[in-house]
Amino acid sequence: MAEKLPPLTAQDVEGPLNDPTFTVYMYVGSKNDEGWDNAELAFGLLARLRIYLVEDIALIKKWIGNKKPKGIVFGWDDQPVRFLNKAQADDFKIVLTAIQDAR
Amino acid sequence: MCRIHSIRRAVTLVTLILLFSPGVPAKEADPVEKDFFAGLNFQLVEETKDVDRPIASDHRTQVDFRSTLILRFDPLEEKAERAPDNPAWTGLQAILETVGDIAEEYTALNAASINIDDPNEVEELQQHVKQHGARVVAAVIGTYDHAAKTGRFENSNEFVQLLNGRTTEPGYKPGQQYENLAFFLAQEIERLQASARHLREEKSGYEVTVIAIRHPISAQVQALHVDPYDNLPGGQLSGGPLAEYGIRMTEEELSRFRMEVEMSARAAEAIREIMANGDDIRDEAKALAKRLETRLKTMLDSFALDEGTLKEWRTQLDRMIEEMVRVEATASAQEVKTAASQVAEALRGYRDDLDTAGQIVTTLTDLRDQLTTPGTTDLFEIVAGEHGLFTKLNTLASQVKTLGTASGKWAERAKTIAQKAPLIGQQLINEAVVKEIETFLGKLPKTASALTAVSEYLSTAGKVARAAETLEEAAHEQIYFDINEEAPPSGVITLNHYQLNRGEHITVKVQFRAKDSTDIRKFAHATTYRLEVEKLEQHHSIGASLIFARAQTGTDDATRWKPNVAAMVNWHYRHRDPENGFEEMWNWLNPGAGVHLASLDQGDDTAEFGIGPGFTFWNGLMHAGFGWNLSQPEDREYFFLGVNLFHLLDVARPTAGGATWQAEIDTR
Repeated sequence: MAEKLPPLTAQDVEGPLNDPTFTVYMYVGSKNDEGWDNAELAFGLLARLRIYLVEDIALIKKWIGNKKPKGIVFGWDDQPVRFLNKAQADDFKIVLTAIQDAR
Repeated sequence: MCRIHSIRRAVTLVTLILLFSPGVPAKEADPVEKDFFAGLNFQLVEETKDVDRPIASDHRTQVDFRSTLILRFDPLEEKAERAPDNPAWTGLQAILETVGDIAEEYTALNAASINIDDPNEVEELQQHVKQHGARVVAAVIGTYDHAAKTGRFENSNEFVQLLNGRTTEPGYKPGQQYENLAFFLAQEIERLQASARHLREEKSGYEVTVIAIRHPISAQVQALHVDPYDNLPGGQLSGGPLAEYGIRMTEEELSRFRMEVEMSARAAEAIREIMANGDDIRDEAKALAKRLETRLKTMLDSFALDEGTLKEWRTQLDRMIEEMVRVEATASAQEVKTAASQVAEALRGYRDDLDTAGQIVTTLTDLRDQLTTPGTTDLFEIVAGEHGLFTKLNTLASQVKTLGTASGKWAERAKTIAQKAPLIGQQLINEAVVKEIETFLGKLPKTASALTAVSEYLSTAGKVARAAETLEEAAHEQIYFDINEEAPPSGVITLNHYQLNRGEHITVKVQFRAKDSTDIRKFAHATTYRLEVEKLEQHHSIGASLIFARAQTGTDDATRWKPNVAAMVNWHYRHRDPENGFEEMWNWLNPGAGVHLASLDQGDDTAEFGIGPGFTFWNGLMHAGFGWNLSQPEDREYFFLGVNLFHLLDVARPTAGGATWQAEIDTR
């Protein structure tokens, strides 16, 4: 199920990110954003997907460095495959396609 | 003048009748009805001997003068069952059939227990997930795209919220995306089916007719027979189609041919007269120009203004305005400041009008000078050129009208100055100037109305054309057919039953009205096709031209270029859809080849005739060829160059008053 950072920490998501049977999509923002609606839609339709709502971007610095993306798409490991800006994260077609392409 | 006034009165009357008559067709249909008729299937087709060509309603299309136009309606029965043929319906139905499968796969894949230490198992799972994901993405995006085309959503987030179950619409559950997707698909499919049923029921309440109107280049508009939508006669050539290769002339062709012969003969005679009496004609032309010059001088004198006077007045006004600005800046009392400002404003108004008066004087002077400049010989340039009389008279009319309108403020300005001047305590105005200006303005209204009458008449010509079309439509009884289970009959317009000429316009209107409407001329929907008649592919032309011919050898008199008349028949080919630069060039040049019979003047005989081959370009405008003089025993060969004066008039027409009319028709 969808989880939030915080209370989860970077250490908490390292395990799921390294699980080769799941992919991950992180959204940076709040639960009322269109971008989060899209993340929930993807979670409800695409199998073997974990989604995280990141409310403190500093917690995922390890994966994004100094970038400030709204969406981070991971493949079958802990390496980001694609960063999405706000317009992209707000477009459900782009979100679904980006997650699918990362697999 | 009286004629112009009566034409204007007639135009105004027609416009008023059309505006207030219940017979004016509705310009704007109800938006709901617009959507409803957008789904109706009918098509205008040009039927030629080789192929049927669909005609679009969004731009003017060329049609061949011999073709048949057919307006075809799709059978309504097919339209009523159209939902299964609708791409949105079939697309959504196909997606719905896959949703059950992918939902099951989603559950199974999420529940799968995998040994993550076994690379083969992991890879196999990843492959399945990827394949599943591809089907999911296609289904969801496909659903949205189909639904979005029908205007179901304002934005994509509305769709996402629906699938996430965050909606007030009943039947959707939070977090049940697959269930919601299936529910949405089923709802949309039902909605499209209902829409198709509604379309079928609604359409039975309407009836339709088809009207065709012909716009000849220089004659009244005419309603063409559309079988079976009216009882008009089938056209003057309905006894038989036009001959494609033969040269048998119809009555109209014969009539035009006679006029061309007569016109060319008169032109040849006039040219011969000019050649013989050139000096006399030049003197006549000079006298005519002199009379016009005198008229213009009288007009200028009546204004009692010259550039020197105008300059002097302007200097005085500038000085007074500067003085008022100074008073406004330096006076201590606010009342005086305000008075100075108001007087300055009134004076500036006078100055602007004075400048306009100056422009009028300049235009009048130009007109006079143009006629008196030695060496001006190009009559066309004098009358219709860029700086010609026509343009200048229009400019003059506009300037006089501007000044005439401004003159309405003069009394008010004079009153302002009279009231405020005592406050300022100075004698500001040169009363003589004011009096002169008032005298000048007293002459304006009459002059302005005379000059603007011409331009107003020209601007109303297009309205007359539109009004004529509407009146022609109303002049005969249209037959309406119900839109019900059966398709309305095809409307057939046989163009080769009419003597159509190149460049004529035809409008075909498909008009729908509600059967229960109390206003029988109020249309619920109308589609208009705009066509231009062209002579396409193989065709021939018969005509008479003014020619200049000379013998190849013989006496000095025989080898001089002399004007005469020739009758000729030419065959042409025009590409219907030019596919390359060569074919475009060919159509532009529109060459033809044929034979001619010419009257000649190369010997002592009173009547001489010649015959031979010839070529023509630009659709018969220019001719060239050679032949043999049948009346001469020797030196028989001759050459000629010719021009068809009728065609020349047709080509020249758009540059004259006809341009306004044409532009109005084009923008309808």
